[in-house]
Amino acid sequence: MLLFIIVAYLLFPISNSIIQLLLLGALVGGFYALIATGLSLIFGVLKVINVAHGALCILAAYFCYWVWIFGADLILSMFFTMVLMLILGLALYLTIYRKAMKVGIDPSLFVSFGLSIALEALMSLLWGADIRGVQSSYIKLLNLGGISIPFMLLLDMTLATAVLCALYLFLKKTLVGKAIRACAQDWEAISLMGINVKFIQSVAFILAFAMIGISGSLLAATYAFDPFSGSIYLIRSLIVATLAGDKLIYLTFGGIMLGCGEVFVSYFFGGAYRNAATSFLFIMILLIRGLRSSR
Amino acid sequence: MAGKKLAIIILINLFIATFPVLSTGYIIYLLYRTITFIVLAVAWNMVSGMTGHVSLGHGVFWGVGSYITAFIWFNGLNPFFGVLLGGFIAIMVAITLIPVFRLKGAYLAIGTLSLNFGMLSIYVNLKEFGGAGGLHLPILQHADIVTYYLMYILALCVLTSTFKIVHSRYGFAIKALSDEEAAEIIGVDTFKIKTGVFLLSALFFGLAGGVNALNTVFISPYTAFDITWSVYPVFMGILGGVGTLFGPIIGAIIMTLTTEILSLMATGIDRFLYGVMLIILILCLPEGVVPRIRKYLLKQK
Repeated sequence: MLLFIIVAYLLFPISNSIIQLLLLGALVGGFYALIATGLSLIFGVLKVINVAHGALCILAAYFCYWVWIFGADLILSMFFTMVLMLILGLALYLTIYRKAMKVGIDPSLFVSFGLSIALEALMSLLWGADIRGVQSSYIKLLNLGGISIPFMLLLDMTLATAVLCALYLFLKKTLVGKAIRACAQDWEAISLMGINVKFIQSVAFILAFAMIGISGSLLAATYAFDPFSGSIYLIRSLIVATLAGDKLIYLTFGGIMLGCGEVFVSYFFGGAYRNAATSFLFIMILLIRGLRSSR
Repeated sequence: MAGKKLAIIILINLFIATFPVLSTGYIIYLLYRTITFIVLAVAWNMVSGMTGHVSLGHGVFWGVGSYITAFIWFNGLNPFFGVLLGGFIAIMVAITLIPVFRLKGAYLAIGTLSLNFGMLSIYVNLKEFGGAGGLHLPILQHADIVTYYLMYILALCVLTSTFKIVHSRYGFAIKALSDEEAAEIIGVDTFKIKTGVFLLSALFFGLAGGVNALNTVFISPYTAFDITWSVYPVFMGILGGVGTLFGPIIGAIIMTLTTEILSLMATGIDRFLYGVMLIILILCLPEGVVPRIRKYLLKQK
């Protein structure tokens, strides 16, 4: 944080650009936070690191793309994608993830890893390796007092905020939401109190897939993607989830920090290094985490 | 009993060594690929069998080895020197990455996984190494036979090393106690051993990558740092049984043959089936083939 401020101060002369960068970073970061919630929910409740998260987001992006191609509006496509992902989530849960929970955290990682490989191969088989994107009328550049912002990003952030707020309220206020939070903390205690843990887990899982559905559709509209784009989003989600943990607010802040970090790296070192920087940032975070926690 | 085993091993080796004289072409390629993955799977198993933690990042050493060799060769120098240099640089890279590979459990898995992408991104940006477009390499005379024998030598080396490690004092201590903390208490310096084994495995990956570069006409970050090189050896090790001596070998053979058969059936579908196979495998056989067979044999008695 301090480094941030120092750097910002030193660069004061180009402060307009700095504000632009920060704003961009915040917008992008909010989006990353939204993507990360899917991953965080599954890990929190099922104790499974869903390495297929990135590939699933891309799958959602493809669903959105195909619905949109057939003439639907973006928002409508998002809705359909969410529904499709919910169904898919239920199917995957019943077949694969339920068993994956039993084998333990580390082996379950491989199960989701196998899923991600299978998904990416399937997508490139079915839909080819071309880069796709959803062109919508929402794509334009806004100019607010000298700062230009892609409108799509603003839309992303607004939707992300709305969804995150809705999710927050759900988790805080409703009975099921509270049960999910309790499960994430200590599922054994919960089961002793008579709550059907399996049901809660399936609800959380499907909820996570709904989040993936929304994130994926937004992704389709904001960025270009191909079957193998998932890995970067996976790493970003992992960064946010590892940094931030389980509380939604932390996730949002984590996402924004990541977004700002990426944007700054792009600006100063060139966009090509963005992905490399993200990957190594993740490794640094893991190392710091590893050093902090006991053996 | 030991005599019979030895005889079988010698026979197999003789067969492998003299095979190129008998036939060339696709079978050579198939054997070459199998031996390559045997090298990788056994080298990976060295580390994970000993530590019990799964690294998904060994492919970066392969990629580094490939690229250094390619770079040396591209610039006109002796490619075999390039292979050796590739192995050496791979060790250097491994040394810098030691902190990462000391992570444990899921952290190790996802950390090393992102190493692949990180390395990929770096090499995409290295113009001297051809960037995203890659390098076109000259053709080596009798490349398939030369690399076949080189890889075979590597396989012998890696198997001998593993054998020696397992049967060394340290290997015995770690296996008998199957708990590194206990091993440390009785005085085994696990850090030194684990680091040494790790560097050795990185060396093998680098050398193998270098040898493979001799066999290809084109190298790019997307081929050299493909997660295949990280993940297939892991899968083979898990399939065969992590921590066993023959496990990775069996895993490598089964997987290579299966992948080749699958790729003959339909293009692109092999990776999909591979993913599905991985899922089914982990869910049904978490320990691997060899331990399962062992249990079965024990039951027979």
